[in-house]
Amino acid sequence: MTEAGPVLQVEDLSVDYRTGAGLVAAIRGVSLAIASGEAVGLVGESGSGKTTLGMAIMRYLPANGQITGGCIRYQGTDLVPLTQRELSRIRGNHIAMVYQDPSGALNPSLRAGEQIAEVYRAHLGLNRDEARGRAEGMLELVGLPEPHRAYDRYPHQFSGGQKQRIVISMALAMDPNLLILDEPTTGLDVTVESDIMQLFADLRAKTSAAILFISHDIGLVASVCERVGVLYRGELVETGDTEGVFTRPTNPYTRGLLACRVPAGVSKDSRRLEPLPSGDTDAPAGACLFEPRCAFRKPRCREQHPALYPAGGSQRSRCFFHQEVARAGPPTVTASDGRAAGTGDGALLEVRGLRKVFRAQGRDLVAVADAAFTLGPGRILGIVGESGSGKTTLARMIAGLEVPDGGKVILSGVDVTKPANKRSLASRRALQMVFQHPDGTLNPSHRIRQILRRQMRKLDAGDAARHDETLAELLRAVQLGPQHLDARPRELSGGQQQRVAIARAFCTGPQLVILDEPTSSLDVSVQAAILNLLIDLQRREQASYLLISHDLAVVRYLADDILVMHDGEIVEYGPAADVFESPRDPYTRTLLSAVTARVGQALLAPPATQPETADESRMPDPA
Amino acid sequence: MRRVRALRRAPGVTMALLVLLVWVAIAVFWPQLVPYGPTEQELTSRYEPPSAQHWLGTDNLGRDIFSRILAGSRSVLIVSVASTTLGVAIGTAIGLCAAFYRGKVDELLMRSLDLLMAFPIIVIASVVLAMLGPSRLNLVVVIAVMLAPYNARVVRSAVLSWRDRDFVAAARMRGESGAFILFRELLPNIVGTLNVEYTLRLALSIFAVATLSFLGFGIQPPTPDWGLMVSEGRPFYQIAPWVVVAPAAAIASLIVAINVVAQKLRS
Repeated sequence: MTEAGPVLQVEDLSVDYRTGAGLVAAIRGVSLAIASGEAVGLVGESGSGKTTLGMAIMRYLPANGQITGGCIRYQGTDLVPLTQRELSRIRGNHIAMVYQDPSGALNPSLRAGEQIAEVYRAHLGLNRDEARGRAEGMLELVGLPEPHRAYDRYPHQFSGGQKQRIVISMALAMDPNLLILDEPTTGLDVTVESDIMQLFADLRAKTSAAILFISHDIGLVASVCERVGVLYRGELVETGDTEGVFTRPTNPYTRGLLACRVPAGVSKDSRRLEPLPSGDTDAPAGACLFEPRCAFRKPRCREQHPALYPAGGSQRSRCFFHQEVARAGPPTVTASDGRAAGTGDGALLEVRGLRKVFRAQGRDLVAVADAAFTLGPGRILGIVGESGSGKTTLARMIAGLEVPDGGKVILSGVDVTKPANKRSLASRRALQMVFQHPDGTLNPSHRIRQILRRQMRKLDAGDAARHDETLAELLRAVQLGPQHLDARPRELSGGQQQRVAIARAFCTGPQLVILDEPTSSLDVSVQAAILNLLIDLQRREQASYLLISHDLAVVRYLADDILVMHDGEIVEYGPAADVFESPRDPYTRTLLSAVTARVGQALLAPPATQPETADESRMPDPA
Repeated sequence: MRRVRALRRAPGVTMALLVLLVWVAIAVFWPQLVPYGPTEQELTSRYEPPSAQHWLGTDNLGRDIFSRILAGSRSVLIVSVASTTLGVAIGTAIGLCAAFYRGKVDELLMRSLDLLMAFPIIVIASVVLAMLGPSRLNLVVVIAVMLAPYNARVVRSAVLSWRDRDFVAAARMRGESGAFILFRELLPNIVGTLNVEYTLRLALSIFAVATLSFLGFGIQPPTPDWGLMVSEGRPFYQIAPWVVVAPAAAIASLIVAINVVAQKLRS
């Protein structure tokens, strides 16, 4: 590599997708450059085109995607006009990509080590033994224990985090000049994520590859990258040094994204989240794409499309009023109304020695072992744990979707340890659930009106006219209009679907609502709005929540009490502040440190609240 | 305009639909269309080759083959549509139950179906029909029972991909009955699969009707029936090939047309 220019230079790249509704622009004139040894982050919500950009650089676009303009220079060579054959030589030797789902990148019928050794045999022409030696070295480099034995195992014998390490070692095996990481830790548990991120940090010291890090998670990007680009609807809206962009945003979208994150270590009692307005309406042609959601919009934004303007320092912002945005400083924070949680007197829900054992391949797997806790009226209990910890099984037993092998569930003094359809009408009314996946939670062949009406008719004795009244009011509360009633679920966005699901859970006045990862598949900007909605509804209806989440910031923000599960056991249970401040169990400590270990969190420490409450000062410092 | 373009893109499907439409029209209106009575014998003009008087020639009893083919379309369509409808209904009910209840119900249902599927349709059907005696109703029931297992399997796997969705959990939590969840929550989501299934089974059913009639277990003479006509003409195939070719072509045209439509529905 003789030239000192950037390893990757994308200039004015545009990508369109052909769909049933015609051509849809996925990437609109994006330019970026990455030098050797540099890491550039690409942040954006779903649909922003960030994955498409990664695919376009690799020239792996799906069949209906086409590059309609611009060029992608790799060390000066434009990749766009190359044939697949020429491309595969460059891809194989110089560019590597790590995808979100590690199991898709590994061949399940080949031994893990062989797949890495193959890279050495194919590209460096090494013989079997040499290749094996190099591959084992690689497995050791990415931190797999016992690389010699790991070499001979098949992909399914590794955990998700280990598989991702193997994929990373494959990507690094050919010593690429350009490494594209597309959401490499999404879907992994927090503790695993923090290990993988640590691995990237270590590897940065050992390789001089240019890195393009694509993620929806601002904290992760901040911890890895020197420079960052923010994508909105296929367009770069802000670029610059990571620190500058994330501490002094000059674009309203960046600012909004930062403001709506759930800050680490903050509780709902001290601060209200600041959601971005929903992005359900399109901007008029020729206008700024962000105009409909923008807090800084002016008439000019509807008439003209802004370019990327220099906005001080290394930053560039696609906003006519970037100075104004920069002057506005970090997002202001509204104090919460500070209303206290329920008193917790008495027990709404009592769980005694609840137990569930699954039989798998002749072995007993204890999913939940003798769980016991009580939940008072009007309180929010957060259940935290990694995948496989039994938290979802516990919730499903309480909901009556799973029959326990032992123990009791008592709701308002009534024993409801039985399947949901055997429970009394009163018990069914009292307990509702909001599920994780918005797209699975509503029946795709029913209209929203049908879905909500059925819920009311089945659980509420009132007449249809009164039902419609209740629904209209509830629909307003979840910020949906009457026009949504005639829609089918697929015509709604993920956030809207989840709002309907919340309306369904609340339409018959439940006393206890189980929230199973209610926001984990939603974008951050939508997440803030949904969390605010859940808080408002909880205060209005005085309902109790059982909140299941892997996101500790969300749990810390919402929950009054916290229950930590590990391998089916409750390892810690107490008031949220106590658990976060002085965890007693070693596992809880690991979990908490995994979150605070994110380097980026220091950079993105929550801005100080104006009215400091007594509660706030007791908060642990996330840095 | 858009329709014209869609047609040009899939001329095969248009042709197939046209063929089906023509057969259905013939099945309904054949009494008005036939030049001769389908059972009308004219022993003086046996084995006549296709001509202006007899478009498709005559058979061993001097009956007009063209008229017999038109008349035969009705019984084939009625029996195959009836048996397919019945079979798909049974199969769908079994598939829904097996997938929804899982466990022992699933095991019992699916293993019994495996047992049924272990025998070729035609063998079992001919044995059963030989015992029950050939009649249109028996034919419908036997073919329906033989088709159901295949349908049940497809429906079961389609339902399996839906039953663990959260909207089913939500229905269970508000206390819906099993029947409600099966027919109101799950069934509407597999309508697409059912359409493909129905057309594929219909083609199979037509083939079964023709085969059973050919073997003598189906429609009885002198009723005009395609399978029967092939069977009756077989001994004279060498001297009068049209006696066999015409009904065979009719069967083939129907089955191919339905398969083309099924293929289109599937994609």
